[in-house]
Amino acid sequence: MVRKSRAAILPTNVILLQNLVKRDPMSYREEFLQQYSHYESLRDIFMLNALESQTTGDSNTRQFVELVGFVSQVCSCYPEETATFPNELKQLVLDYHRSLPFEVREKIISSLTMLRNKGVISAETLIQTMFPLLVAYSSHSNALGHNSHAKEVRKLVYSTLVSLLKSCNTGAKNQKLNRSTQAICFNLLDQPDSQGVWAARLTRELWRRGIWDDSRAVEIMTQAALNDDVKIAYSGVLFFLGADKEREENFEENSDDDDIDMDALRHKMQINKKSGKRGKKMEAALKTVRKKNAGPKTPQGYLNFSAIHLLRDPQGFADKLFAKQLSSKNNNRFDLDQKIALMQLLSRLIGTHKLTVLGIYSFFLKYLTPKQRDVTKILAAAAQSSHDMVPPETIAVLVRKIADEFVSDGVASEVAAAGLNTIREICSRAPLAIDETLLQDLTEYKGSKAKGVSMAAKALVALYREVAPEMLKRKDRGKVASMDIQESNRQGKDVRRPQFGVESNVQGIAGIELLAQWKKKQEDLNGEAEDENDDRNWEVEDEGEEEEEIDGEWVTVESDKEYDVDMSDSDDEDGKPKADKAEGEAAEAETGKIDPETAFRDLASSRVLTPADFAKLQELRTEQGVARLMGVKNEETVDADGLVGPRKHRKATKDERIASIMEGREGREKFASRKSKRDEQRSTTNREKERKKNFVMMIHKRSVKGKQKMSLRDRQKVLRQHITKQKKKGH
Amino acid sequence: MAKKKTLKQQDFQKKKLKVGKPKQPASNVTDTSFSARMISLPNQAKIKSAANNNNYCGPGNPDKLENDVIKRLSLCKHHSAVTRKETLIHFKQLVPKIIRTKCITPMLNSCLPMICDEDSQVRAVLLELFEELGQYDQNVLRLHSRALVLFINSSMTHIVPAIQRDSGKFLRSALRYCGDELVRNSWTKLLKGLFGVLGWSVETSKTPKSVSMGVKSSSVVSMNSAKAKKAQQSNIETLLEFVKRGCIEESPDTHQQALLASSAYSKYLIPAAPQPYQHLKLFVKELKNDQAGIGSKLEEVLNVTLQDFSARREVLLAHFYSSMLQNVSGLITGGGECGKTANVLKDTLEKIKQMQEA
Repeated sequence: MVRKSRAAILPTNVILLQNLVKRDPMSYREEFLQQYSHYESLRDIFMLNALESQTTGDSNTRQFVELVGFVSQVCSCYPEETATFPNELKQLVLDYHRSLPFEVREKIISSLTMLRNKGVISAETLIQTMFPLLVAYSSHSNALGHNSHAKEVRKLVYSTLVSLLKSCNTGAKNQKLNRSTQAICFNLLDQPDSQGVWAARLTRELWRRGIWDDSRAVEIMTQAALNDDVKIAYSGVLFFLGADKEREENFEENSDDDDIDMDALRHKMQINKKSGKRGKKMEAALKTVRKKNAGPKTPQGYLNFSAIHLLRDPQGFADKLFAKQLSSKNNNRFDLDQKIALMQLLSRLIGTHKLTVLGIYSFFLKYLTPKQRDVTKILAAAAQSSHDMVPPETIAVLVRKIADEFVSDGVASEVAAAGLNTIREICSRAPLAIDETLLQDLTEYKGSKAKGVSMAAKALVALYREVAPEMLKRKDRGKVASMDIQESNRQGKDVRRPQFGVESNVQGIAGIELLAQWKKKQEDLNGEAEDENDDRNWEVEDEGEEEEEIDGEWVTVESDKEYDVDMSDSDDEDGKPKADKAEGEAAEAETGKIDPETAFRDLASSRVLTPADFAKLQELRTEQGVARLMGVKNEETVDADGLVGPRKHRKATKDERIASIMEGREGREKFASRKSKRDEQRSTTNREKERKKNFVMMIHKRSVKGKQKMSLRDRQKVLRQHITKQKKKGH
Repeated sequence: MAKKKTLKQQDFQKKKLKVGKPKQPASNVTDTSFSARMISLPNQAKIKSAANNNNYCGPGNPDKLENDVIKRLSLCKHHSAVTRKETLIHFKQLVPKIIRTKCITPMLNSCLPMICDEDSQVRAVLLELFEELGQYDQNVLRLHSRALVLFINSSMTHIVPAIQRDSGKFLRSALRYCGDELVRNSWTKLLKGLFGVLGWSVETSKTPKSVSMGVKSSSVVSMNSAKAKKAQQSNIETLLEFVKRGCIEESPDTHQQALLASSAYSKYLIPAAPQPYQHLKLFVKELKNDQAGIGSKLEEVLNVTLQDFSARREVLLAHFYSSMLQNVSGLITGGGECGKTANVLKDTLEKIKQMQEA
């Protein structure tokens, strides 16, 4: 009894004391001071033989580790007495980390983290301590002796850094800390040996977690991508190619963790016995669901800019990347995969920002042969890097080369399909890159027997019907396009052909001719002009748009139906849409095309456009696919696998082959000899005995003698039988 | 003849390079690449020193003794207290033979941590070992005085009361043989440690930051046990001795007078004690404390060496005097052996004050 009560107040070990000190720091001050001076004496002992070998598991080491933990746990209670403590730890780990045993190092690092969490030291101090350690323990720095546990330390330090930055950036972003850390990263990248790999790694990780999402982080990665070291450069390139995808995946993973089925829970509540516990469960579930619905899916202040959009100087970056990494003399240090990644990055940069890096097109020429490994990726990159701001003659070389190498009768159908598809992708971005003769040659492949090739050729035809029909052969132009051409010929006007350097922006209101056409159609149908003074058209109609989203494909017609219904009588609501559509198509040919300028003049002068009109206009434009032709979606990436086209007889992978083999074997016994599967303990079979029997004993038996006495015919027969049997066995 | 000629010509023909194949190496090529490999067996690093000795020691050699000692060093960390004790006894017997050999340093290095050993018998034997060492050659202890002080200090602040109590004995024995070094190099540190052992508080001024009575709860609870009384008695004696040694110069008697003449040129001679310039801390690693002036004055002088008596007296009077007097007066009223010693200590303190004022 006495002993027990004494133990409660008499600390005999450090853990107990820690508990007591935390509860009542003032009363246990003396004990703490004693332990603190014990720590100091142990520290001095450590310093005394810092360079001698300190073995792990030494009692001194254990005690020291324990005390470091203790002091850092309670030092927030005694700020004055332990003012120098954090600094001592920092010095110890920075100056003597080589000679400290691993346990001590680990403990000091975790203690420093704890001190940061308690607010004893600033985050900047911790970062200043961690970065040198990270560099010192990276695999490239040599002179690490045995027993250094470099990998563990690296892991520890790295995770400490990431979690530190994460915790500092929850809630509001700690811009000051981010700045200083990014400055350290920049400095690391300037270092001659490959310490910059840590800067790249850290930035990528933080980007993935959405902690860093500003242009400075992107700038770090541009520095990394331009680094001399292959590893760093490659990690920088991969960042731009994949980081945003990674980030999205990360957030998606977080969002769909556990779904609670509220309906099921409610149903259960109604049927099962009502109890307090179940009620509480229900409430808890309700709370989580509400929280989930209310809370933002992404961390606060998270910007969804892709890294490529955040580049400060895309043209400069692309130029340097091409000159320094891809086309320089020493680009041999990159292997093919890395080169392809570089090409992909460059082409994406060029396509997204419409940059001009003329050298890259002739660079591609070297790699554009069917035998080249991963040629589809290179083809995709080539397609992506072309856009309408590049001089057509530069890209024409590329197209010519692809046509020569890939599209001919002598190559496999997949190759031809890939070539044609690539040419289509290039031409959809830069329509002038192909000359008329080549195009007409290529369109001949639409009659090819291989499905992929003919599909690709037809797609090319379809593209040029929209872009420049007069470049196609007469029979390929299609009805609408040829009528257009005829009409313009009749009126004596020039054919509207795409020209280099002329932007296809519309004066007035984009797509107004579509609206005019539609109006005309409506008038024909209803027999009366729309009431332009209708007030309802001025309100942006919420109900109408909501229904649009629900209904899907027939939206356009139905939503406008509603206006009509509002004005006219509401009898014929249901039967109309389909008939309307059919009539509309019939009428379309008659109305023909209305010139945008005249349309604008007509419409704009005669009436004032309402918000409803603009909404309609937008719909019509998307319907027509104008957006794609105008190159709005230029960031869309070219899918390398899609270039080959649909394959009928694809070569199965090994897994698939094995799966099919296994499927065939289901439910049958194995064909192999059962010799090995026989039981161990057995006597010899009769056949075995017969075979092993001494020949001399058999020589006078009838079965043997009879063979000699057989007639020639019988002997021949037996021999024939023997031969067929052997053949069946496969000999 | 023709064949021979063609064979000869072959040697001088240039090999054709083939596409996709590496260049054929010449027939006389020498492989100059090499790879260096290192095998490290960290857990055998310790044995190495003993094994090295093995190579050149003959039987009956003094080297054999050394080897024996080094082999037994690991026993100092043996989990069984009896083994540790036996090892120490063995070392003690060997002391006269090995005191001049070089294995004494590793031996001391592994023995010193045992000041904080949990077992009281081990500590007792260790004390005897130190006595033995001191009797044979004081300089050995002097040489290791720094490590000795560190470990004594560590035991003074140990959380287990028994180890704490015994620290006074070690200090006393060390005082006997290397007292000069102790008072010079670690005067403040050891005084502070002794205060901790006796359960006295260094800061007499009651600052509002602490509600404690300036006394550790452990010393309050175990104040009246017989062991604690006994330990207190010995620790006070140690304190008395330490203070005397540090503050009161031995009156130069006639014998010393004779030597005085030599003091004029003694500094030009080779000094008698090892490490005479230790206080300069030339080869000592210490953490820099760049935040000077934050702590109290006491912390500033904690690691300073005090070379002369008056400086030590000054520190004593400034930081320890008042609290010492206060605590001593309490002990005197308690009476007994302890009271007697305390009385002597009080007289000594007064004498020191007079000396300093004079």
